[in-house]
Amino acid sequence: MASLYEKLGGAAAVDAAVDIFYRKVLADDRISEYFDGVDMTAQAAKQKSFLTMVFGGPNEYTGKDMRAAHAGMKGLNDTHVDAVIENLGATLAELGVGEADIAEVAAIANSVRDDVLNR
Amino acid sequence: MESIQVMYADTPLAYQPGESLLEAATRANVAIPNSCRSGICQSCLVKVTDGEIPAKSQDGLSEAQKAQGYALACQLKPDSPILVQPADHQDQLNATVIEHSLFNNGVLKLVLASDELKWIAGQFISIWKTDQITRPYSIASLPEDHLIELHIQKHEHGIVSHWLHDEVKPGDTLKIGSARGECCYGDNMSEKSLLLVGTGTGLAPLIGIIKDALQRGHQQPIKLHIGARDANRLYLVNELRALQSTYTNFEFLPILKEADDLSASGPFEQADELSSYIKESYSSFQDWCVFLCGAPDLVRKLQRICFLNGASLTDIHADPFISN
Repeated sequence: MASLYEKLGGAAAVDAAVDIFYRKVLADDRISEYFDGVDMTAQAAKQKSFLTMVFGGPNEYTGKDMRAAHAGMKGLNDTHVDAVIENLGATLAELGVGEADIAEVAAIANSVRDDVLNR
Repeated sequence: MESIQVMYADTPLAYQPGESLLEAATRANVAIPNSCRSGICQSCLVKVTDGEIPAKSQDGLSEAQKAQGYALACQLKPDSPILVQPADHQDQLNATVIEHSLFNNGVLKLVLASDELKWIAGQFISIWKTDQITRPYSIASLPEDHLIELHIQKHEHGIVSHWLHDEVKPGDTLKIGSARGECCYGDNMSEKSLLLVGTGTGLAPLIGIIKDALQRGHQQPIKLHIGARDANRLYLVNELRALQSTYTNFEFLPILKEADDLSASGPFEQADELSSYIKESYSSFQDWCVFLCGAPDLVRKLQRICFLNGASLTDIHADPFISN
């Protein structure tokens, strides 16, 4: 079965998704403060890796990477992870992805929750 | 099967056909920064200095990066001998000072000649004062000019800027590094409008990018905004006005904080905040390519404004000028 990554159209689709996703994240008051003063170019590359991972594309991004990326971010909790997953779902809906696929992506994103929250 | 000679950071690697440069380097305990190992995140960017670059290893890179030989180590599977260096590698080259003069606002115009330097308009080079002390400066001229024009603002405690302003003179030989940076025009931008915003000597790379775009026949609108306290802080105004009368698609509109001074010799706008002016004057940045050069705070602010108002991340090119 083709992965969502392939169905969406590969790397070019991830570029489009990063634009939409990152815009939503920056506009979301629940989490936007974590992105203040962050180098946007470097951040976009990280988001691209993250989206490729949750879309089931070629990647070796691991829980360890997610743990390292979020280490030192003060006050991070489940609400923040929920907000990210919500924005992810809205991004996919905007790209015309069906509910079943969105649920699958959310499940993958959820699988690194403990790493993100350093539990 | 004969082995392929692969060098990374001046170290020969025992390369096995079919594996990536990253794999070969990792096995040899030579560190290359990396993350996704799938050609997506671009953390493992390296620079090929000699040899053939397989196209797959450049997937997703910008035109400017491709032209300069950048590649992704995790995707780089060479099938012929290849020399590779870390992405920030620079060769040290010699350059001769040809011209040393001041613009009307006190910015130094330093023109250098070097047969060895290759660059793309909008890139920057390092100048070494000593082996330890170096500063980056953007290039304002085009490769076709065969001369390297730099604009140098004297900073109060700037060791290198003081030295360049007060001690360096025509005929001197300076040590410079390879050109770097990807704040450059690309042929894939020909259908887009260009917005260039800067402060101070951020004009140097911007003027290079504009001339490059015009020379390559860019037909869509090109807008340049330079922010300054007053008209006396601007420079190259006449040259920019002349460019504007030659190319109807190019517009130069300075944004001044203090607008009572009419010496800007042409149209300008008054605004307290350059970033707010940009935000309010453009309804959307969709289908725009944006170039931002100057004060880091302003660059970051505008980067965000342009992105949130429709510019794609891949269409925003930023070059924050950090003054030491």
